[in-house]
Amino acid sequence: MQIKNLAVSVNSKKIVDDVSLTVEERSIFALVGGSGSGKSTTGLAVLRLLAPGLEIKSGEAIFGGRDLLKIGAEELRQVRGKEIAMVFQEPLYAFNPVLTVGQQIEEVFTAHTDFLGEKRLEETLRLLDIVGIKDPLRVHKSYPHQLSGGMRQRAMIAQAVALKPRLIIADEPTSSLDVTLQARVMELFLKLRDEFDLSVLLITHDLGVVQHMADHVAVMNNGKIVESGSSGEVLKNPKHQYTRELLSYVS
Amino acid sequence: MKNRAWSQFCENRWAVAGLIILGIIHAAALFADFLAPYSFSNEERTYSYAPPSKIHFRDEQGSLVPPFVYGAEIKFDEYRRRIYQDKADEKYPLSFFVQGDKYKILGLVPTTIHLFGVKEPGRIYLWGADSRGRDLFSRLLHGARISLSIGILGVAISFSIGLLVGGIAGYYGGKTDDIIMRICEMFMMFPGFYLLLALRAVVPPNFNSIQVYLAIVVILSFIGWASLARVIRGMCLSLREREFVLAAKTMGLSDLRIIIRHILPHTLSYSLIAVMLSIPGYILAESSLSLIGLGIQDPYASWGNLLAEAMGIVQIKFAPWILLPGFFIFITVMCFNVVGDALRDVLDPKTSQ
Ligand SMILES: Nc1ncnc2c1ncn2[C@@H]1O[C@H](COP(=O)(O)OP(=O)(O)OP(=O)(O)O)[C@@H](O)[C@H]1O
Ligand SMILES: [Mg+2]
Repeated sequence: MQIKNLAVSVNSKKIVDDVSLTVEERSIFALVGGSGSGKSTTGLAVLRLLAPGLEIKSGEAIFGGRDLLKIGAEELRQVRGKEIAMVFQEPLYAFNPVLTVGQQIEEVFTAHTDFLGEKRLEETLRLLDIVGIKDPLRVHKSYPHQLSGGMRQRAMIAQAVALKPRLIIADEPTSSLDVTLQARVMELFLKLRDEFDLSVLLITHDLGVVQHMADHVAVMNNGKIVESGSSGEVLKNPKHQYTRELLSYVS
Repeated sequence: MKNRAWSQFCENRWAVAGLIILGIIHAAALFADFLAPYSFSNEERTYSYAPPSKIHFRDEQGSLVPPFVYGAEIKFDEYRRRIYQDKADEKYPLSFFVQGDKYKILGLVPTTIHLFGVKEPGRIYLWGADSRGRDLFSRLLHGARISLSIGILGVAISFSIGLLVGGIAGYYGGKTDDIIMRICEMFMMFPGFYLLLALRAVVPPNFNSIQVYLAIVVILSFIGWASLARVIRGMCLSLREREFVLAAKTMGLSDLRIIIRHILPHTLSYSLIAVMLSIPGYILAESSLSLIGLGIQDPYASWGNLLAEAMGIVQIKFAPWILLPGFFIFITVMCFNVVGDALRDVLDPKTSQ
């Protein structure tokens, strides 16, 4: 996927300004930056899911040969969940509290396939197994609040990869987890990348994670990309003052 | 959490009593054909305004016998009003599971068995007869069917509309919301009863009873949905900001599916309370229409048109039992209100603190 010159503004104030980046196939692209720098906004803009009031001023999001910012509503719906999926920071809020986790994973199949109930269940259990959940059947029947944070995040990831999307946009997928779990979930992303041949746009402010996982990195500050390149280079050899600042928090 | 709400509800004695009474009344309406000794149209004109039959358990000698009723001897007083007296030599034993008018159990299985009754030509009037000698008890049961089902059906329809319209307005917001809300306000602006009369006037006069019944249901739903839609819309405006709605969108669910499956269930407890508190309105509206002769037509019975018989002071004086339908309307409406209020205390976080 390729984002070109994306600009988003709210009340004519630009919160994403001239952002361009390319997520290559089967690669992990990290978008880092401090709080309020416009990372989430960039991720949501690609799927045209910005909150009312936020407006895409210009730019393109080329994916599979078409511009996601221009296609019709139904075509866009087909892309969402099927070709590009999203993982959120806090699965407790991203799951609907009144439906079971299983019901919600199955909804992806309902929306995009004509699988019957039995097939949906089977697929869902298989997915839960793939993401490393020990007793898929119990998790399937549980409500979100009945699961631990780690299991919820795994379930959310299972939902995201359900239809083998080309790209997953993961918005701080580990920030709500404790340190040991963070590493496991990150490993899961690597495993899924290899298994499903997908690419990941990883939004994070954790440069440690970037170091281990990402192929490319872009650093954002105040809505602008201030530095980008392969992650080894950028982290070893930061050119921009802001990147150095960020790095100084890690070490 | 559900269990806590339920046990809290059970602490409210009035509400539990109300719920039990409602249960009994609805069950009675459901099995009206079986519980009632006669069909709604079974008449015996000589028994006009016959008083409630006395059920005797002892014979003239005072010894205990199976229950029976006396036949009636009808005399006229100087105003040509009927005076009913027991005929000592005509006894009709009260029997159970007797043959009577034909009906279908729950509209399916044809049968003629009734819970109780007496052999012809004896008549049993548990709660008296109306002007045409029809059993009021039987007609009350059959009337309960119509009155209660109009309430439930009306609420079901208007709530489906209200939930959907409110959900759409709240979910999309903006212009859609503005337009829908102005329409709602238009509906809410008219005083309910006059709108009811106006709409009733539109219904063709040559409709048969079932059509009239359905027309009334539709008219009532037509009036009721707007206020619910407004409240639901308000709740949806805040619900759509929740992250799980955004997540549902990223999954590629259609808007309608998001509204119905992800947003509206969160309005469930409010809707439940609102249902309980609005059913009485529908029952009363049907009763008022039928009372003034614009609703369910004779020979079909509804609590409203049964009560219409009680519009003359003379009838009330000499046959006070014809007020019973009013009593049932009152009890039912009270029960719904008590139960609805109790539900609100339990479920609504705003009032429970
Ligand atoms: N609905 C909104 N209305 C107005 N301003 C908004 C809205 N959403 C986001 N913003 C502004 O846009 C800017 C970027 O927000 P964004 O959520 O993209 O930041 P972020 O990089 O994801 O930060 P974080 O690391 O805290 O998640 C912020 O300054 C924020 O105040
Ligand atoms: Mg963010």
